Amino acid sequence: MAAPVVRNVSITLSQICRNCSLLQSRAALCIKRYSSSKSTDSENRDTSKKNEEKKEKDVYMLYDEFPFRNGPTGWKDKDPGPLFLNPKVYNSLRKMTGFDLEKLFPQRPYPRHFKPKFRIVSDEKLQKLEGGNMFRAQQKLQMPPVMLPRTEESTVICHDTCIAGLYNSKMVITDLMVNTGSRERIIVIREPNGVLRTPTLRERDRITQVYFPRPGRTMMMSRMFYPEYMQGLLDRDEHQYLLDRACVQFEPDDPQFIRICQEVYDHLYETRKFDILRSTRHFGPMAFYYAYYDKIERLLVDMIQREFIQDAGSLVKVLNEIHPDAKCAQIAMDLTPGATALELVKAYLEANSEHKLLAKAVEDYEKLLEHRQKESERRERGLKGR
Amino acid sequence: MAAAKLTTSILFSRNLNRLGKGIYMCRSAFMMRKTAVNQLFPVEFNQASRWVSTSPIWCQKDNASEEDELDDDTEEVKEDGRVHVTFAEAKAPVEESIAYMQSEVFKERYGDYPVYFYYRRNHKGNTPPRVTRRTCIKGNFVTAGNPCPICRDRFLTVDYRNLDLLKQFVSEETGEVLKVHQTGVCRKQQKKLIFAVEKARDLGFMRAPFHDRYYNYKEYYPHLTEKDVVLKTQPKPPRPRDRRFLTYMDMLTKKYLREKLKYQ
Repeated sequence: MAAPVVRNVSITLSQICRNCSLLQSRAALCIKRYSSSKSTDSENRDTSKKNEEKKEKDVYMLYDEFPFRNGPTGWKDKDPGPLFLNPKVYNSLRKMTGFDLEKLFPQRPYPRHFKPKFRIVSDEKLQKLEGGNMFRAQQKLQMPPVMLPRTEESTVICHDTCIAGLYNSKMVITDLMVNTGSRERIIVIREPNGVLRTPTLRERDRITQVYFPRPGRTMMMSRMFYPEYMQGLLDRDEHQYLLDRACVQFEPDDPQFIRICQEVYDHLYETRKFDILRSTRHFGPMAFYYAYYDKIERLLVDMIQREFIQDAGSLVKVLNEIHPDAKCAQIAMDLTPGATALELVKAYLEANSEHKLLAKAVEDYEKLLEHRQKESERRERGLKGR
Repeated sequence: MAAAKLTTSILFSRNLNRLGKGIYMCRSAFMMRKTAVNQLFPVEFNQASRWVSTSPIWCQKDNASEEDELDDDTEEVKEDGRVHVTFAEAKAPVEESIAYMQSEVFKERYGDYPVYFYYRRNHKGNTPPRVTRRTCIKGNFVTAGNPCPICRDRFLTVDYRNLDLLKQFVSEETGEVLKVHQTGVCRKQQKKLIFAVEKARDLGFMRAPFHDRYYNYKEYYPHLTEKDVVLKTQPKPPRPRDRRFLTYMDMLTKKYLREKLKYQ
């Protein structure tokens, strides 16, 4: 096998490996402490074998075992990636997110070198600058990619038994070329037993963090992503902050990221506080998650009550694209191509008649429309009469 | 085993800070005690540190710490009828501190201003020294004449749970802990503040400042081509400024500035 051509190589000896092993030992200590603290609770002092087994399962191992609410991957059999990238789905999700400038540019602490600048400017220049702000707002509304969780695999390149036993620690050899992405970068690990292998994606993230640190990202996961502390954040309505921090810390195909996102969406579903994520980058993936699992009725109710009927129609469209074999999609196919959003929602109601709240919401909305129409007619008659 | 027992009793004795000479710490213990990680993820002392004492008092018994009687809170009723309380420990427990920050007494004392607002340091000359004193409190005694804003009030304990106090020392604009020359606190309390703020942020009790994350969809969906609608509608990410590598334009501007200053 030809050796890969590598430029600007930094051969890091035990320094990097020691740090990695130190971090692993600290992680191990954390796990030990977590498990021991759980086991020393006064309620859990039983020494029976069953309880010991239960404790082992309850212990939250970093990256190894984590509770997914929806099966082993968090998603069903269908790969969410291609469904998400379907242009109809993607565009309707973008339309649904909304646009609130105050929410997109909040009063937030920024680092010291982002000093505010005050300028006196003509009207034309002001329009140009405002256009720039709109562009930056679209950047902020970029949806994080929806993917299946990755598999941790490393391929063995070669096995040199003659080198075995020379060093006590692993050696990590990385190519430090500036403009390569973290996945394309050539990284190789030499183990003490002589195996030369590629790194797993988890190791790859850590190694790129050493040389090209992303600001805001930590080597070890913050404890606020652990289930017990995350619950506190969700109770305090800090869903957006949690998800933004998760976007910085994890890659979108990291199982931790998927777990955190789905727990947040489930909590919002239970508490019906969908408005928290409206006009943020996370609204699209949230709506996609509900459509994937066929639980869009609560979100539809919320939209209709706030009179976002176009958004409700596009949500039903998303559902039909993801589940084209379902009743709702077939009823929608029979409708005329120029169907309004309300008609789409009614088609959904026809297919799923058990959602009474939705039916009531649609009724109330129609009554509202009638009421408004009558009032406007009355005003016109009154004006004409005079 | 006797030596191990001795070490644990010394470490957990409450009179530790009152001991002066006769205690020799191993270097590793000293370093472990001072690192930030130890503050966030405290390791059990038995594993980490080793203390060796030459003092005859501590070499005698293993239960020396249990026999020591700390002064309890004592109350004296004076002639006027006032009650003068001398406390055993210089700082109140956290729960009392959290309750105090919401009470009327706190409002009377400090009003709407932060705790350091009306504090003035004593120093020679016009500008105060850039660095404050190391500690105001030694053992359980306040040894400073003009203690710092945190040490002078018994009910202000710096803890990761005491968010009201921590938020007063964090800048709203930058998200950093205020410097010692701005607030006037002693260096020991400043360290405690920094650790407490970091711990609170790590656990999610306080918000940390962060940068936005922008994605390159091609990295995650490599099958996408430039003709795909999804890629076309992606906004361009902001140009990443890697300041270790200066671009040609950066060099030009620096040169221009240098030359401009020459001719001014």
